[in-house]
Amino acid sequence: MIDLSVLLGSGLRLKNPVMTASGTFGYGREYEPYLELNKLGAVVTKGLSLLPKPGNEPPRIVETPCGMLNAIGLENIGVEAFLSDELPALKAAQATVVVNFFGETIDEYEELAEILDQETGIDALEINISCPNVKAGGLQFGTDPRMAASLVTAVRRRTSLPLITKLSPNVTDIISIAMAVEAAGSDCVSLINTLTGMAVDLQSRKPVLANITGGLSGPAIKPIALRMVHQVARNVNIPVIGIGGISSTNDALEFLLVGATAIQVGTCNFVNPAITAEIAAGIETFLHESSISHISDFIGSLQLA
Amino acid sequence: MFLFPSTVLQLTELTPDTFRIRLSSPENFARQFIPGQFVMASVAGPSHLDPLLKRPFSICRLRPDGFELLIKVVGRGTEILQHMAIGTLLSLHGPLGNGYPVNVIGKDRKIMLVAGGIGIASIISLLDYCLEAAYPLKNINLILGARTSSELLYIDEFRQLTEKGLTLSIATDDGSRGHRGLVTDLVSRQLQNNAENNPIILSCGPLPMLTALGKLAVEASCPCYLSLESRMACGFGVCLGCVTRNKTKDEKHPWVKVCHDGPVFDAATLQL
Ligand SMILES: Cc1cc2nc3c(=O)[nH]c(=O)nc-3n(C[C@H](O)[C@H](O)[C@H](O)COP(=O)(O)OP(=O)(O)OC[C@H]3O[C@@H](n4cnc5c(N)ncnc54)[C@H](O)[C@@H]3O)c2cc1C
Ligand SMILES: Cc1cc2nc3c(=O)[nH]c(=O)nc-3n(C[C@H](O)[C@H](O)[C@H](O)COP(=O)(O)O)c2cc1C
Ligand code: FES
Repeated sequence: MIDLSVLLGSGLRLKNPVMTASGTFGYGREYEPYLELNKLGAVVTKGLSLLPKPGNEPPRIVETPCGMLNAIGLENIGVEAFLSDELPALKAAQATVVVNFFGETIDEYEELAEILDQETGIDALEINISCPNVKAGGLQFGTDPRMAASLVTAVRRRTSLPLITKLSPNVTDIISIAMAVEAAGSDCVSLINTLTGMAVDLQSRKPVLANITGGLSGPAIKPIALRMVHQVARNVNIPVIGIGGISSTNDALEFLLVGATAIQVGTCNFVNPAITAEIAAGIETFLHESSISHISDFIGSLQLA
Repeated sequence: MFLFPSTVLQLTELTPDTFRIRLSSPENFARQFIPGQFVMASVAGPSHLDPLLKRPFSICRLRPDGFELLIKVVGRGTEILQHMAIGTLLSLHGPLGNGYPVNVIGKDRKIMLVAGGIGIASIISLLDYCLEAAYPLKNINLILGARTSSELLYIDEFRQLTEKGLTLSIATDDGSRGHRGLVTDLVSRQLQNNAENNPIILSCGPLPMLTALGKLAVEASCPCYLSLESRMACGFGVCLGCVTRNKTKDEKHPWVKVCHDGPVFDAATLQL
């Protein structure tokens, strides 16, 4: 028997390292025709806010080489509707549930953390810090180590659930942000969120997206994500979750090799809705063929000369 | 709905930039299919990362060994498909979305089918359904629009059906066949001539045409269903990329998903 389970901080054991990336897996239920949710390490929900959010005007997406830009604008049904309409199905499927959430002020993050903390059936929280802080003139929480740390400190006080902080790659030094949120009490970090990009239409001379800019995701960002995961994993003592362009078992293994304890698959769920289950099975096959009985023996085993 | 590998069985060029592709499907595919539904199709072999996303195409026609798509080349993905070798395996997902409301169309009802350009792919699935279900052809009015006569597809087949009662009208932008001008000119004329016996309108085509048609239908108080297009990443309701504004929703949350709530919508609910 191969042990695929991984520990994300003290409180959260996943049966395997394959998670879904927020915003690419709906609220989980939509994928039930394609796979068994309880075969995944964890299901990470679409990012929730206190109140429902309508999101941006269309066009919201455009394909780019080996990837896509999105400016969905964090559209979601709000925490209340999630708890009443969506969480029961996830519980019934016996999925490990990670709720991703965000706010526009620290107060909003705190209130959300408190609400989610009181629910049963939620196994961990993932804080999306790639959001504008309206009280700081719209500067993103995730772009400044001090602001990121004070947000995590505030949320930490409101919940005993395992806390994952999801980092933005649109920064000069992601290591300093990771270290700051570790010191503030985050149990894990996940990275990367999307990279800000843009597409224009030569004929109309207009931006393709109504929002002008959007977040780049998909295989195009994998080398950047891999580099950032590698750097962060060497500089923090908490588990790191690798995200960015994973489209195959080998991609997932590469992130584990450079030090990710778990991985999340995003955009490629759109292309193949069964891909997370296939990658989980693929990792098991790989370990079996490599005669590795515990996945922890493989994680971070990168050979640096 | 299925997620399946599909073999390219046949590829036929119809005009320099349109082709028909016949694809294999799982056994129960036809049984699940409702006219107006679509598939998401990979445009490159498995494990190719570019182009990454699947593309949406209306299921045009069911065939004993699978189904056909009718495709117009507009960019990289459709161009790759155009040159696909017979036997190539594609990755498919479907049938997806809600089709036309076939169960509410009574057999004694006048039906107006309006197709603009490659929108004919979706309309053919509906026409096939009507033929199969033995709708009287004398109640069906097919109105086709294209830029020029050489872009009118399947015209001989439609002409044969006129001998059995189908009414066929054509508009081309350059007047090379039928009315010179827009399909909506024809629709508006026919609605005026038949004001006492309103048809149900079902349509697929470019957005400006659908918008004009929806407005005409609302003015004439005709029931009208429009099949919309949108940029899609997933095709099954999870990316929220394909939304369009809908009047029946509250103002704070005005969106419906074209892939999951459509692609066919009641024109009265759309912000036209
Ligand atoms: C439900 C549905 C059914 C469809 N059925 C058919 C069909 O039966 N036959 C058929 O030929 N096509 C159909 N389409 C359109 C088809 O999906 C696109 O033409 C195809 O995805 C283009 O792929 P590409 O890689 O060739 O073009 P790309 O390289 O992706 O794009 C080519 C050009 O078109 C623009 N473009 C692409 N998509 C859109 C859009 N949604 N709105 C506005 N501009 C856009 C791009 O910006 C670019 O300029 C359907 C679309 C939908 C949503
Ligand atoms: C359409 C879309 C919506 C997303 N929504 C969210 C979100 O609500 N919250 C969040 O933290 N990340 C969101 N993301 C980012 C992904 O979770 C992930 O970090 C990113 O896409 C990189 O992974 P990938 O290359 O595998 O897609 C979204 C990504 C996409 C493509
Ligand atoms: S295409 Fe993804 S939600 Fe419609």
